[in-house]
Amino acid sequence: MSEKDLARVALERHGDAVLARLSGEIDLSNARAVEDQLTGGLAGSTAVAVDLSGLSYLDSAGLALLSRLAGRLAELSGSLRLVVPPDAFVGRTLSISGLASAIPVDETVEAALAALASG
Amino acid sequence: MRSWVPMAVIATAVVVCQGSLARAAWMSDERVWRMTAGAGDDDVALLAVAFAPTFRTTVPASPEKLSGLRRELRGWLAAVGTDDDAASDVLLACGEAAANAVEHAFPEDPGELTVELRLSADRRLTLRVTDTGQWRRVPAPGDRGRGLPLMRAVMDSVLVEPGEGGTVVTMQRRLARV
Repeated sequence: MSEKDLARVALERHGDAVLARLSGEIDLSNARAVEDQLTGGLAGSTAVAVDLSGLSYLDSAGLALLSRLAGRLAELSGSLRLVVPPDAFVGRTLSISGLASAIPVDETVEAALAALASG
Repeated sequence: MRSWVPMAVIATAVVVCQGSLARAAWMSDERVWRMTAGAGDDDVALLAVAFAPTFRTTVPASPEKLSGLRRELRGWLAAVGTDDDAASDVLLACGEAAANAVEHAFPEDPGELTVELRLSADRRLTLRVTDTGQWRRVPAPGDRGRGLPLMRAVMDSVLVEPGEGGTVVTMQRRLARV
C-alpha cells in the first residue's frame, strides 16, 4: 500500500462548519500529507469537526497533526472538535496521549456539528 | 490393554506445534482425540511441546515501510491470541519505536530496522526494535516528543539503549489469556 492510499480525507461543508472524515491509517509517512489536505480544504472556515471513527491507526505524528490544527484554529478564535465513538479504534490512543482532554470530543458527528453551531 | 503412542506421531505433533500457541492448542486437542480413540479406559500420557511463538522481521528504515510492518504484526498478534486493547497497545508501541528509528535515519542511507517479538509461556511479551543504520547526532526536527511517553503508557517496561551502531528499544508487556 502506498503512502497515498493509507489514509483518506473527505471534507463536507455544514453551514459555516467543515466536517472532515478521516479514514485508514495515519502515521509518520502520511501525517503531513493528511494535514495539508485537511487545512487546504477548510477554505477559511474556523469551525472544524474531525471524525476519527474510520481510522484504524493513529500514531504520535497524527496526534501532533491534530494538536497543531487545534492550536491554529484557536489562534483564529475558531474551534476544533473530534468525533470519537466509544468503539473507535483510536479512542484508546487519544485518551492515553491526553489529547482527548485537550480537545473537545463528541461521540457522534451530529453532536459535534451542533456544538460548533451553538459555539 | 495399554495403548502406546508411536514416537513418530509425537515428533510430528512437535513440529506442527511450532509457530503459534493457538495452533499448538488446537493440534493437541486433535491429537489427543485421535490417539485416545482406541484406548478405552486405559491411562494415556501425552507429551505436548509448544515453542514460544516468535516474530522477526527486518525492513528498510523508511516511512513507507511502517504500514506493512503493522500489517504483519497484526497478523501475528491475532495468531497468538491477544485481546483488542493489548493488540492496539503493542501495535502502537512498536509503531512508535519503529517511527523513531525511521525519523533518526539518514534519508539517503536509511539502513534497516528489525522488530522482534517473543511470547513466553507465562504470556510475557517482549518486543525489541533495533536499528542498524547510521544515526543523526541531533534529533530530526518534528513533533516526536509524544512517542516515548506513549510507549511508556502502553507497555509495562521500556528500555532505550543508544549505542554506536544504532539504538535498541526493549519493551515488555504481560498479556491476558484469551
